[in-house]
Amino acid sequence: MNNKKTEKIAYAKPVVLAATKKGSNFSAGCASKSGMMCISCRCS
Amino acid sequence: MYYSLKSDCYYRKYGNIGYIIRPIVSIEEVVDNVGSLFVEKLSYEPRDIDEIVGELYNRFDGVDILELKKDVMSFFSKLAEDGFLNYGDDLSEYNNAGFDYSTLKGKLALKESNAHSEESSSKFLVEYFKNSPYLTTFHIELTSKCNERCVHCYIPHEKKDTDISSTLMYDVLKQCKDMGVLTVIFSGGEPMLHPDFCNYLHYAKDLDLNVTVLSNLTLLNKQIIKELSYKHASCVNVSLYSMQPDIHDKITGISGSFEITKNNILKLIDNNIPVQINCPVMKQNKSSFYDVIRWGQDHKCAVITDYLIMARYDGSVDNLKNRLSEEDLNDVINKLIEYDVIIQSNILQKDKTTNSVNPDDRVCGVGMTTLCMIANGMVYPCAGWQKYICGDLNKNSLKEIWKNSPQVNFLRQLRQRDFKQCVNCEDAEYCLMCMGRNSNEASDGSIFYIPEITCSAAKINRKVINKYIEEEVGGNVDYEAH
Repeated sequence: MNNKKTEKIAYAKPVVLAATKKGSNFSAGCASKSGMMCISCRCS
Repeated sequence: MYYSLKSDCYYRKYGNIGYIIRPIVSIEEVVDNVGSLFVEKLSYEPRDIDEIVGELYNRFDGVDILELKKDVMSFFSKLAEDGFLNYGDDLSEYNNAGFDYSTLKGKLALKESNAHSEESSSKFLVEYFKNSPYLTTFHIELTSKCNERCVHCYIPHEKKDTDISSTLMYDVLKQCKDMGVLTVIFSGGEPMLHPDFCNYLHYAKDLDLNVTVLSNLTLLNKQIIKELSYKHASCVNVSLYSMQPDIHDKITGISGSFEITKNNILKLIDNNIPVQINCPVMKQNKSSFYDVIRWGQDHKCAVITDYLIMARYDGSVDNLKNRLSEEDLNDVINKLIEYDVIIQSNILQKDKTTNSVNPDDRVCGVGMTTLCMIANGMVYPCAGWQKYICGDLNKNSLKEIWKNSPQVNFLRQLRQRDFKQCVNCEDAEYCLMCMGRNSNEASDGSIFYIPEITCSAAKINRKVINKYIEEEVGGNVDYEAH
């Protein structure tokens, strides 16, 4: 049996740090202004 | 009140931040540590707010339970408004909907967005992962076998002969789960040719992995549709080259393939399975590819084009005889901008701050967030770039390769400034330089060799895009208004 207690953390109101504006995909990162995409970009 | 994650929504914890995404409609948010603890309490089944708050209350110091409940509800309401959660007062009437084509209302699947406009999450995450790369997308070639013989394919036809073994496949999927990978891409060859395709799909979904399938769809059947719909709907990326059957069939080398592929795209849409059409443009379809864009848009499918096909990964370049010439590129890019609403939107919405090329920026996501394996277990940066071996999953774990491979570590330290020919180029922001394309075409496999056509395409892009902006908005793009 696991008796280890989860340590409490100091509370602060939650924050959204960043959000997509439109059609975003951070894995890709190389879509050019032209909208053209490489294999990795268009698949992920 | 009850809350749940939408059925096509995924959540991951990366260090001290939480990442929530609906890949099908391309919306994503990054939340702080407290926000991530809130989201972790959600599942795909509705949960009672008091139960959630009761559990969270034990995690925090310095807050009373009423204030906490107010904050949790306010936070969840915002996530619901942004499209990530379902909620309701009454379980008997609870709407647990996920992706549904009928709700898109004129928008394209994969391009819908109703999120608010904090800092772009992509930009935030690229910066966040800069010094601590995290594998989020793993591309898996299930088989190199294919039932089509596309003229431009980057896999040499004589090497289309290997299926992944079940032992390796299940092991790799489990490793992806353990590493916190978000998306696995099932590709081929033609992945549906693998006899265990449905089993792999089912297993990956049970592991809460987001599965994208790259297929020509000619082998689609009821069982596959059932598995694609199971739990989180998988997005299918399908190649469609023309709406003229003879042109499509000439590219695939298979008579009748157009009708089967087109009808099976419609079948997926009928079954609410999101489809993205990939339409590489080459000599054969340069005068008809835009009909695919129109057809896709009419069916709410995003159509992604690529007008610079790459040489084969073994260095053979005979497939490049199908590649567009400079003259062709001018016509094709003009047509693209005329017909493609995604490209139009990209041009007009592009954040001003992302337009210049920063010498310190990464070149692409390989080694930072993505990697690829082929059916025999060898690991490469990406499917089209197989001159560069990063590891062997028959000998090392994915985690070991990701962490220790000298080749992966080399990719990580590459920056735009390392491509001396490109970093100060006036066309750089209009260019899609690709290390895989470079390497495949270079006689020595060098990633720094830039094929001339890449530069020509960027130059043409610059000219055509600026002309479009001039005509549309008099040269002054109001980035806030679009």
